[in-house]
Amino acid sequence: MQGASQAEQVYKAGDEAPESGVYTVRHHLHRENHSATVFKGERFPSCVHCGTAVRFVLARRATRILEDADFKQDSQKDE
Amino acid sequence: MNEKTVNLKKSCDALQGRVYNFPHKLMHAPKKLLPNLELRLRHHRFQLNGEGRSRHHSPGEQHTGKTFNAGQPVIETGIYEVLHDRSHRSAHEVVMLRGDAFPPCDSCADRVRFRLVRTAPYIFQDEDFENQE
Repeated sequence: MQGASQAEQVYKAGDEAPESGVYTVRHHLHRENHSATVFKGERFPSCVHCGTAVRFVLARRATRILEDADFKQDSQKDE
Repeated sequence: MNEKTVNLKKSCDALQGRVYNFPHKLMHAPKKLLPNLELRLRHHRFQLNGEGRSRHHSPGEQHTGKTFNAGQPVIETGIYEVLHDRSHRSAHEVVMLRGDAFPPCDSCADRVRFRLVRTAPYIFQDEDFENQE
């Protein structure tokens, strides 16, 4: 899969997201897996229902547009 | 019946199948598992009726393939393929947040296009995680 991470690395609430992209969120019993966008450097949050039992796996990596060399000029204008 | 409704109906049917085909050895599993399944079925039926906002987001592939121009607002958070003009750069993927605007490229300006690849709500806009930023 394009942009997939190296062998499934599982992250816990409180860990820092190593990459921007779409992560699969695995809850403990109360909810099925789902996808969520997380940006590099953000801390994975705990779930209001299953707390720190929630887990995150990178499903598809992609650069945040503001960090892309071809779009930096526009983002600098905005700042 | 539009495509979205058909897909939701398929999901609902699949969930119902899981109820009727529930493995026998799990019949004695903790009782709290079944109410969760029933809640999910209700949730899917609710969506079929076309009422209200989904509590939990769908896997997020329903709008894939649409292309957008620089300056247009991002309608769904997720991954977009960036298609540059005159091949000054090969296509690549970026993450965009709903509510932002698609920016022009420094090289091909507003001739750049963005194709939705995969939607996924921002983690802090999900009901189970919001207000934790």
